[in-house]
Amino acid sequence: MRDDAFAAYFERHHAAFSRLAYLMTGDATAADDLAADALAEVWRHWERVESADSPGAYGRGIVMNLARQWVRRQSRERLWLLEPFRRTPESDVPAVLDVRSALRRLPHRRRACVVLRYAFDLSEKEVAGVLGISVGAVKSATSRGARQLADLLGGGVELDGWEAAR
Amino acid sequence: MRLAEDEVRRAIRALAAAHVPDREAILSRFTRVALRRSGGRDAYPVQVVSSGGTDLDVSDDVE
Repeated sequence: MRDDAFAAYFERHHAAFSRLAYLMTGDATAADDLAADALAEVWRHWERVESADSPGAYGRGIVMNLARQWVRRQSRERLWLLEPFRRTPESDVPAVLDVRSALRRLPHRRRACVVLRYAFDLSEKEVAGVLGISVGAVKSATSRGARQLADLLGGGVELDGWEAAR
Repeated sequence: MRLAEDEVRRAIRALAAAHVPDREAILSRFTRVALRRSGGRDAYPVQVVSSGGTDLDVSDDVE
């Protein structure tokens, strides 16, 4: 029973976890790795996850923490600054590159709020639960992040480098 | 020029949709990590997951 439930969880969430990690890191390979690591962590704490109000939110929180750690490592190693545009299948699409680069410029909390609200349609309360912050903080970070993204994507701002997780 | 909120939302969704998760790569790494953390004792969940389907229904992930 326990294993069936986890198998269902894996099938239901692995793709969404990978997409979430991709939006937070901009790296397709890292996204799959972080999704897998998050699922391993979910399995390790399965009883706690299963009894949580929202098992999916629990997993998303783990993905966010892992993504933040990954960004910090990359920033320390300065890899992104040296190679801001990694070649991936979608990187031939200028619009996609622009959005990915613009997301990189956002501080971690703003990026997280914008991604969870806009890409995954989570409510402000749900985002607050995933990130462990107040609803007010979610509102503020989402608003500022969306405004910053709108400015960046609207042109006139050079898109390169990353904003370190903070 | 600043984009409208709807345009920002669409742009982020398009970026998310452009990423195609690799289920087998995720499963493979999950297997390695889960086994390592359990000291090799906890293979059963991996077998259960491995026997799952390979269809990747992402329709409810990102519109």
